[in-house]
Amino acid sequence: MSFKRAVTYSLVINLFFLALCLIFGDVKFGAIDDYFMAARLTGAFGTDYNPHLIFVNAIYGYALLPLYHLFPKIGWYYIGEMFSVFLSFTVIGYVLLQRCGARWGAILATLFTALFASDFYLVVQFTQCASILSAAGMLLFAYGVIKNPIATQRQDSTNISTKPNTSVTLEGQSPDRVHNTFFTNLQKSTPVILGIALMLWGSIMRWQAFLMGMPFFCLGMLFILKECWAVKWRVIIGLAILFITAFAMHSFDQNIYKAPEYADFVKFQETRVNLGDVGNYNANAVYEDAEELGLYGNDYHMLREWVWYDTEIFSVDSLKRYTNLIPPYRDPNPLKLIPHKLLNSLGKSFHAPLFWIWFILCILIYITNPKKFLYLWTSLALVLAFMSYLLVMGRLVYRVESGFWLYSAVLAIPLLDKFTYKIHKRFVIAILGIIAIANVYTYATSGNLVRDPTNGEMRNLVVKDTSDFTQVFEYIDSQPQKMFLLSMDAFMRFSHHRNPPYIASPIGSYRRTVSLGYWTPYLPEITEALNSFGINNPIRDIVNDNVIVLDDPRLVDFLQRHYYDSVAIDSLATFGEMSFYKYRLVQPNDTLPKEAEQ
Amino acid sequence: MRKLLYPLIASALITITPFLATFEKGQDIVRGLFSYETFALLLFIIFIKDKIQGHALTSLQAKNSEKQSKPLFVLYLILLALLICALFAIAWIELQNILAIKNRNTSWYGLLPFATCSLAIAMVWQIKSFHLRTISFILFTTLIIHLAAQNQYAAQPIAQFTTIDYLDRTAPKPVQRKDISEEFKNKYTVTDSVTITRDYVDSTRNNVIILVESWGIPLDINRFDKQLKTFSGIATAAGIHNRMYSRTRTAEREDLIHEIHRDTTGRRDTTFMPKIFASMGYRTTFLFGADSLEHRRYKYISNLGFNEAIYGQGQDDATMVQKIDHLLADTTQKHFIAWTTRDTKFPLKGFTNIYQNAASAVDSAYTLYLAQTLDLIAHLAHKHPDTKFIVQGDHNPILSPINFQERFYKRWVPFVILN
Repeated sequence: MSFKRAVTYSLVINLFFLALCLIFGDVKFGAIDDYFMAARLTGAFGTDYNPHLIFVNAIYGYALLPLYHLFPKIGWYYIGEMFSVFLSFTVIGYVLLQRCGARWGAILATLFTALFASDFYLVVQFTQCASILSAAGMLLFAYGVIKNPIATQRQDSTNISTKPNTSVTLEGQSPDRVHNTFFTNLQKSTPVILGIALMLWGSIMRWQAFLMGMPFFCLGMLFILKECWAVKWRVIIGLAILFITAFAMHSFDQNIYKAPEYADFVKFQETRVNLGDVGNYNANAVYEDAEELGLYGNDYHMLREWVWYDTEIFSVDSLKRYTNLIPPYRDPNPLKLIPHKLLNSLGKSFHAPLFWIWFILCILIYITNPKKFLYLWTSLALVLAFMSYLLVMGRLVYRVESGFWLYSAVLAIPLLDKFTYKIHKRFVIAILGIIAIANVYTYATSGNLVRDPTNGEMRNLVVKDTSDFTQVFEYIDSQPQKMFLLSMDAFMRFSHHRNPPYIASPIGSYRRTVSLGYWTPYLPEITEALNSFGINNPIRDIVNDNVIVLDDPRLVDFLQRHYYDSVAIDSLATFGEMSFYKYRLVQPNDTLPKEAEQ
Repeated sequence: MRKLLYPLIASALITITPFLATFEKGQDIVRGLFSYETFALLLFIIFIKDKIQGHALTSLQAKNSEKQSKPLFVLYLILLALLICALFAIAWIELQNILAIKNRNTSWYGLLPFATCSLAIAMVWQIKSFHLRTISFILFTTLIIHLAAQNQYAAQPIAQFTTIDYLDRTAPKPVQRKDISEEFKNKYTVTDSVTITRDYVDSTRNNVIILVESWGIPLDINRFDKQLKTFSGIATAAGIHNRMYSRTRTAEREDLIHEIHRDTTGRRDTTFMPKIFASMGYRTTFLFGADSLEHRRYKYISNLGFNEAIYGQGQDDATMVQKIDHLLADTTQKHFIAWTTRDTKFPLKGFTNIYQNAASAVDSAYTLYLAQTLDLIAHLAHKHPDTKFIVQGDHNPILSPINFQERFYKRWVPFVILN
């Protein structure tokens, strides 16, 4: 199949599903983290663009900067992520078409995209972008290796006269026109080079997801070792470039956060993860031990609810006294129970479409290329090994698990051989038609349903609240002299109402709304914004005249416990579920009732 | 088809026979139709058997090749023997799994695996083998079909994973610490009530209410009996009661609650016993051997309505007992005294690290300190036979190595009434 035709087919298939997702789906980020990283990039927290994206490599931020300068209104972060998914799907579809021929390839590519589209386009998220980019890159790399003329020559030594020619036409050029050997070499290496580029992009989006794919990559390469040997220099140089560049880019990104301005932020992260993310331990026992030690159980409750932007009482060193109590109370996870849990999670992953793609591809390997059938067990073993590792840690979530299936499914594609069973053209069109109609129907009726990235259950991304956020934003904008401190919940809800992902959050739009929780505390520009309002310690200075609190009326006890003799709270305005509060000090002779005091 | 069905039926035979042999009317045990492991083993047994037969055939035809193939032949024989042993082992484990669920001994059931396995091997001996690749494919699809079916209809699984069941069965179970065992219930009063003092105070006599720090109910009843022996002769009641939290403050505060009432606006208010006794002309005193800042007692103790709160600077229990003795010596008025001990507070003296010490070392230190404190209390009670003593644990031992904590019931504490 010619390069042009394969690309066109793949593009058509993918454009169709992209259009379905955009028309019927709920266009949102799959993770609120992405929204706030994009907001940080566009300078929403501070006064200028900031490409240091915390979880995504800063190179992505720097790469998008020119676009932001040209068209500042557009949310390029989101568009970049969507494009990366589209590109990866198109590459995978292209290789499927090349490997399986126009008819079978079209069916498989359509099926692949149909099963994956909603999970990726509608819950677009940096981790998943990293997985799909790395997977597409690995596939293209492997495809570049097996599609190589020398390899093909050795494989089919009988057809030596015809095979090499057809192989080189891959790039749409006839070999006799090309005389420059360097150019031909380069051309032959194109898939490998593009594959490396995609994998590097994947490593930029999320380093861990890229690393997680490497064992699968190795496994896939092991199964085409003979072909790799035929082009050993290209493979070795390619892999060397891949790893050197990937590690260099990663260390470049890591070095950014070694700067003194990030010291407070970096120092706080481990504590944040321990208190906010880790959940597989006996929190009640930790509460009781903290109380017995003379610490404050109520403070521990606040920390568990992500209220921690107090730079004194909740400084990292004093929080260590709480986090040190956690490890002994981790849920026991006896190794003997792991096999059972593994079997259960394997059964559960049947609800994930990615599992079935892997299964279908494995069956196809068995049918077309039975010699490589061992891939089925080895890839399953690798997935199970990863799953048990995560089970032991107690952190097996859907988006990570589906990453495993994605890698093992995609790397099965190079092992497919020629489909000997001819399928009638009319039949192909019928199947494609059925898939298309079925998808149009499901997207039209339940396009807003997506799989939850954590547990894989179907749900929509609509946030259940009746508050009128335009009024909330108007209230905030009408008081430019005030700093607003938000509960993490309110802050996260803002991400659904401030602006859609494809519009950039304007510079400074979040400058006066600071969250008491989440991962944003201690970011340099947020510290600076607080300082400019005369706030050194957000929770302590909550009683300052220029501070208004949104959606957290429960801080009176804390303030009285640690800072002030008597604090009162007044409700300023309420819009649906969102209420603005003013905390103030009560003088001893003050006779006003203390409303919220318990 | 026979190639597939015979091993399937044979493995079903191995799995179902012990199930049926132990079946009782009305039992509700979810069990797969065949054991996945035996099915796999049988397929491999057939495969190896075919190889051996093939070898025997070729060596008959060509005697020259005998030299070369002999090691391979031996290897196949060893493999076959191993596979058959494994089959027996799996069948045996399967039987034991069933018997463990039903709480029965092996007895004559022990013969079953030998019978079923022999029968199974005999059944499949004449069957031709699949290609190794096909065996792999069959096993893979069986696994997927089993899991897919399980998702749809969990009440009747297709396959049974004998080894996984075995691992499940033998995995360490968490110690049950929530419910007091029958053994305790038969011997002692066990009550869910979190307030004990209210039921036992005597408004005609002196009352001393003592909370013994970290005095919990050991899982071992003999250990508890031994602790209570300290009070033999003077104890009028002894038992076990519940606590809402394993927290000293909860014990100190909630135990002295007299009543909780609501006013007309629905506001909750609490009356504490010291207040009641003070109004009856008692002298009410709270004692604690350490600073009032510890656990912020200066805040909440003052709200309970004591006439006086005596704090120390780290005095041990013996010193505090002397102080109480001194207070009780004043017979001009009646006393209501509350005291929380300190010697058994974790981390114990001499242990700086909270969780990393050997449980046995912590245990022996704890046992020693606790015995000393209980002894002191017993002596004091002997000395003042007219005074009522209400002695309780404040909470089970916490803030200590987990292995040690697991030797005590959670949220249950002893109470003893003296004189």
